[in-house]
Amino acid sequence: MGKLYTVGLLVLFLSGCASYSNSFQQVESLLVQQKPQEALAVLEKHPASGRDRLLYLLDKAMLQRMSGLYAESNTTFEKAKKLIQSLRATSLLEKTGALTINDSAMSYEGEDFEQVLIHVYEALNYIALGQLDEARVEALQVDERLKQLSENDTVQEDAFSRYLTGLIYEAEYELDEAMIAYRKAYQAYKHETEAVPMLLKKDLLRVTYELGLMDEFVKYKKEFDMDDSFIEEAIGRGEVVLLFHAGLAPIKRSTSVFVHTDDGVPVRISLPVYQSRPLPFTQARLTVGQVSVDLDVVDDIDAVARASLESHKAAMVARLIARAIAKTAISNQAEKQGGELAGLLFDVAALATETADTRSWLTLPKRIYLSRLPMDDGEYQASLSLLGQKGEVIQRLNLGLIKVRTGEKTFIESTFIAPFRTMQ
Amino acid sequence: MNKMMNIVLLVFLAFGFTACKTTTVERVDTDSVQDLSGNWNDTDSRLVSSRMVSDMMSRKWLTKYQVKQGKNPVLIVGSVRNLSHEHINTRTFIADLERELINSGEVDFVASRTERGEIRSERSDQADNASMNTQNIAGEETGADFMLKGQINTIFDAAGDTQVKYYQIDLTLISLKDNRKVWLGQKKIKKVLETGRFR
Repeated sequence: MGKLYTVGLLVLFLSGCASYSNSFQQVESLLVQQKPQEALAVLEKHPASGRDRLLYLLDKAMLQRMSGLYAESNTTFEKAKKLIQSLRATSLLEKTGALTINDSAMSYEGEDFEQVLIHVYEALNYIALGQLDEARVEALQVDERLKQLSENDTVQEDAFSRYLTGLIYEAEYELDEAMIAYRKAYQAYKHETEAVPMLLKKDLLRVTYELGLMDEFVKYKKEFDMDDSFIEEAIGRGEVVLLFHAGLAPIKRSTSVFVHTDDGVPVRISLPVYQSRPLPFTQARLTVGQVSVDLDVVDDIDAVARASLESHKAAMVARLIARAIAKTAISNQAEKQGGELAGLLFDVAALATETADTRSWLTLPKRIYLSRLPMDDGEYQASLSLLGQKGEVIQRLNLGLIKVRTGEKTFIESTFIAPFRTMQ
Repeated sequence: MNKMMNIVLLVFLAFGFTACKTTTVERVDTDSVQDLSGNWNDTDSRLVSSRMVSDMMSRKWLTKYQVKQGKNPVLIVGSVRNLSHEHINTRTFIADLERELINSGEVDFVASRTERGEIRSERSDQADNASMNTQNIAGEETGADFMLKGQINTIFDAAGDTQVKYYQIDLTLISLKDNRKVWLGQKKIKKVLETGRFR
């Protein structure tokens, strides 16, 4: 009987929390109205501690950077990093909770791609603050993190973070380091999506050319089947680098499915599934002065998130079935010892607590676009046009006056979260 | 009754786990070594700067210069670049270096680029507002003979619960007259970290 009470108490302790993604609606509705400061204020009113703390920190850091508070955002990201570090050690209490109640009993540690994106956004914050050396620190940490992840062979590479580190090294005039990063990015893009961004192809050609790696240059030229006249145009000039964060990452929902155990007993399990959030435009175009260029998608977070979920689905299903069996065993035990009513109560409790872990970093964009545009020294008006399916301009975002200096990179960033109906 | 006791016991247990954790403050000597996370900390900054400076002061370039010119060399600290895996506050490191250098009494020191701006604006303000005999006029600044530059690099390795962190700090003293490097200093720090499996 004592065992039963322990379980009952655990249920009380661990279940009574609404899932994080459900309580996020107010923040989201402010974001689609392009009011990140107010969204930040709302979020800060409900600081999460305990198991959802990492999510809170990540969302907070993201809203801070959207509000232009780059230094503060980095302080928050650093806290998140520390938390992840401490969560790497296993908690026995949480493990027990996850085995008997549901996955939300575990502290959220972040998906692998989310952990890498922390470094990416922190690096972008440092770039916005004009501290390239510090952005370079983040580039090294990306390298370190990916090395660790490849040891557990869940994730091989992360294409965009590699590409960004290449950009940072290039901005620091370390072409050889940049070349290594671009090569890795190239491999990763080929592995992930098959679609290698045109920008990266150009970078591979240009940097191999500049470094005098002629064999590699010829190899890429053949592979990409590209004209190389752009190289002379780019070398020695200034460059505008635009990063455009569009939309919001997919949201996890819970679905229930009946599966059969090895003994043929049907059990109900809850699985998280991603629900995409749509983007209203199909193409984005950057205009600097008189020059216009279409943006490339460099990180499709929507797709990356789905692939990540898919990759550990099998292990998750196995764990969920094991838990369903454990719960059935507990309710059978209760029925034997405490009569039918007790058994029923435990069945109800088991059903009620069986929800999927729907936690994810919700303030991430759906996609990251990039454009690199060689320009001459001077000041230019810049704007971003979002185009619909027929090429009509849906929205124009003004990026203000930007300065370009010969031999330097001018980084600009823009975020756009479109209004759309949230589905329940 | 037995059941009741069980519940009561459990509740007490639950409280016992969560409740008592109060803040305690203990003052420690700033020279004491406290390694918490294994990251670069105040001890590293202090140790490296004092060792480097004492090395710099014991080398030949200094006596050569003093004998030849008949005065102390004038130094300026340029940038110390952080090329490591960690966000290191290089400003405290530079401040440590400057302090060690000035206190050695063997070299003279001029203000760095950022500091100079503020001094200059104060001087131009003096020209307008201060009385004639207390004014400091422009154009009498001391030019530096040498610039101290440096960088911090790391090599990081991890396997399982063990991490090895290796820091290498390189400082170079460059003559502003002819770009000659007169002194190279290097200091290495190696740390081994063990992380716990359970929390």
